[in-house]
Order: sequence, then C-alpha cells, then structure tokens
Amino acid sequence: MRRRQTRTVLIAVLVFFLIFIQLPFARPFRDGLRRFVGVPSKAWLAFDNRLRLAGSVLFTINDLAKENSNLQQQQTSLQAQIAQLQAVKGENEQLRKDLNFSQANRQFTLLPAEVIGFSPTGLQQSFTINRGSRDGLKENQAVVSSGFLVGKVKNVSTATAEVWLLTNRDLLTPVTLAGSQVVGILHGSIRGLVLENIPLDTKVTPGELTVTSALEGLYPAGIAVGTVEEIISAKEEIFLTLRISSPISLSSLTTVFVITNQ
Amino acid sequence: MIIAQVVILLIAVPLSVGPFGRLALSHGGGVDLLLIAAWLFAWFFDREAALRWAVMAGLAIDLLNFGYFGLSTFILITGVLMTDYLRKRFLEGSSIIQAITTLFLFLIMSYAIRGLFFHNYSWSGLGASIFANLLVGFLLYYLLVFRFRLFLRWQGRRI
Repeated sequence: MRRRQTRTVLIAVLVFFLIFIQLPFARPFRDGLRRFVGVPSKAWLAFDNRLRLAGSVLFTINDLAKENSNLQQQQTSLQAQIAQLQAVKGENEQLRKDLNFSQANRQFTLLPAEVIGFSPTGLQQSFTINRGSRDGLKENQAVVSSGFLVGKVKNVSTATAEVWLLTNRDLLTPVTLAGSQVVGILHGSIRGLVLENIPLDTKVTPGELTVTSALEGLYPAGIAVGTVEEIISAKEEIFLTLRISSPISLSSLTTVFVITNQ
Repeated sequence: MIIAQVVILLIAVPLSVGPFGRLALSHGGGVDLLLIAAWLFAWFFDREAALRWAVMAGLAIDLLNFGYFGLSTFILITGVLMTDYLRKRFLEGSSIIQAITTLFLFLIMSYAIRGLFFHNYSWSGLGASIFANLLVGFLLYYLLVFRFRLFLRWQGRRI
C-alpha cells in the first residue's frame, strides 16, 4: 500500500516536472544543462578526433613500413606531427575561409558559435549551438561555415539554439542556379540534397554553383550552397530534380557562424 | 543500483550527444547507447530498475534536445515495458537470440515513432544503424553473460 502511494507521488512529481519544464522561465535551467553537458561532450569529441587521427597515422605507418622499414620510427613521429599540424591547418583554413567570407560580405554580421551537442539518433538532422536570444539570435537566421550555407536557426532559447541542417527534410530552402538564375527548392531527401521545381527547359551543367535566393525573405541572397552533381528526375516528370553536393562535411563541424542581420 | 545507473548516465549522455550523435548525424543513424542500456537493464535486472533508467535517460535527452519534449522518455519507457513483457511472457530469459530479437523490436519501435515526428530517415542509414545497435547489443550481452556470468549469478542457470 505504502509502495503504491510512493509510486503515485513519484508519478505526480514527474508529471509536474514535465509541465514545469515547458514554461518559459525554465529555459535558463535547460540552457545551463545543455552547456554543462556540452563540456564533457566536447571533450569526448576531441578524444574522438584524436582517435581518428591516430588511426590515420597507423595506416600510414603500415604503408611506410613496406617501403622503408629503417625509417619507420622516424616516420611515426613525423606522421604524428603531420597529423597534428593537419588538424591545426584544417581548422586554420576553415577560419580563413570564414574570414574571407566575412570580408567579402561586409553587409552581414557574423556571430561565431560552437557546436555543443547532437541528437543521439541523427533523425533530427540538427545540432545545438552555444548561442541564444541573449546573443541576438532569432529563428530563421542563416547559419554558414567556410562561406557555405549549413542550415538555419530553428529554435532559440536564452543561451542555446537549435540549428536545422540543409539535409533536414522539413527544411525547404529557396536556391538559385548561378548560371541560369532559375530558382528551385532545396531540401534533404533519401537521395541526399535535392533541388526541385526547376523548369524542364533550364540548361543545367554538372558542377554549376547554387546560391541562396532571397525569395520568401528567409535568407540573404548569394550565399553559396553547393554545386550541381547530376540530374536525377525521370524523363516523364514535368520539372527537373537535381542532386546537389555541399563541400561542407557535417561530421567535422565544430564552429559555425550565424548571420544575425539578414 | 541507483548510483551505478547515475554514473553510467553521466558517461553515456555526453557520449550520446557528442561523438555518437555526430556519427549518427553524418551517417543517418548510429549506435543509441541509452536505448541499448535500457534494453540491458530490462533484460538483466527488474522492471523497476529499467523504468528508472528509462525516465532518467529519456528526461536527460529531452531536456538537452529541442523538439518534441517527452518523446525520448516515452520511447524508452515503452521499449522497457515491451522488453519486460516479452522476457516474462513469451521468451526464455537466457536465450541470446530472443534477447537480440527483443532489442531488434525495441529499435524498430523507436525508429518508427521517431520517423513519424522527424522525417529524416534513410533506408541505408536505418539498416546500418539497426545492424550497429544489434552488434553492440550482442557484444554487451556476450560480455555480461559469457564473461561475467550474470545469468549464473542472478538466475541460477547457464546458457
């Protein structure tokens, strides 16, 4: 009897908590929790990066051993150094690209943000950043990395925000083909990033650059999105469907920029 | 048991929203540590311990992520109840095939519910994700049962 009462009280507390946590004044608590978990999460991510680098070094060592066993030890340390330098170089290159993008687009105010968390299943196609409404973030602001569009801010809390990636099927992005200036709708799909609603008579060449369109006022015009990979629509369809490839690797994103004055 | 679960939670949650989450994002799915842990608690321990884990882990993910609040908790609780029901009513507690089948059903249920809310499934990603989860589940089951003899200790019989 007593156990049943305890259980009822626990369930009541849980229900109360679930309701309480939805209210706006509970946001700082959730933000704090996200940032708190973001610290060990980032440490795990850094450890994961080191593991990957170590793995790549080991494979390289294997090849080198076949070619020249006498230099193996020296190569090992050099490769380890190269791997470390490559990681720094990669980060440097990304920051340089971001800086170039910032200088080339002075009309945009870019706010740097760190990626602090992902969803465990990957089905949400989104990640959490360490910036929120107190930093000037609003819903629908564009998020870029290395000058390319990555996604948009979907949900904003006080100190954190959720970014929906271009690969999200529910995110529809108006995109212009740079060559023909035809506008289509980009979204994620089972076939990767696809650009739909392109008129049949449009001349499309693989490798053609695609940029954001100001249509619907969602994004500033002219931000690079990716390049046309191939036409994937069937002959009988009344519109062309294109597969778009983005040079941005989602798995390596650690820092992104939010355009706060679009 | 509660302390052990809290310690596991403190390790598993940052891993889930960190490297495993990143892997899942780029590959359309990955290993769901919290789900596997819920299945293990339901299979090897009692329903109460598994439900406690489901509430703790589910709430942690719901609080950390944006989107539909309560969805992760609901999925984990439903999965635990399903696993417990299958273990008690139909299946043999010490059968690895039946344990893995239950994990498979748990995964299918999880992806089906999430798929209704988030439309980002990809068949290849789902297939790889289910396979990876089953593999990790199998290895953990093997370690717990064959190496650490958990069944021998708790159920008084061997496989």
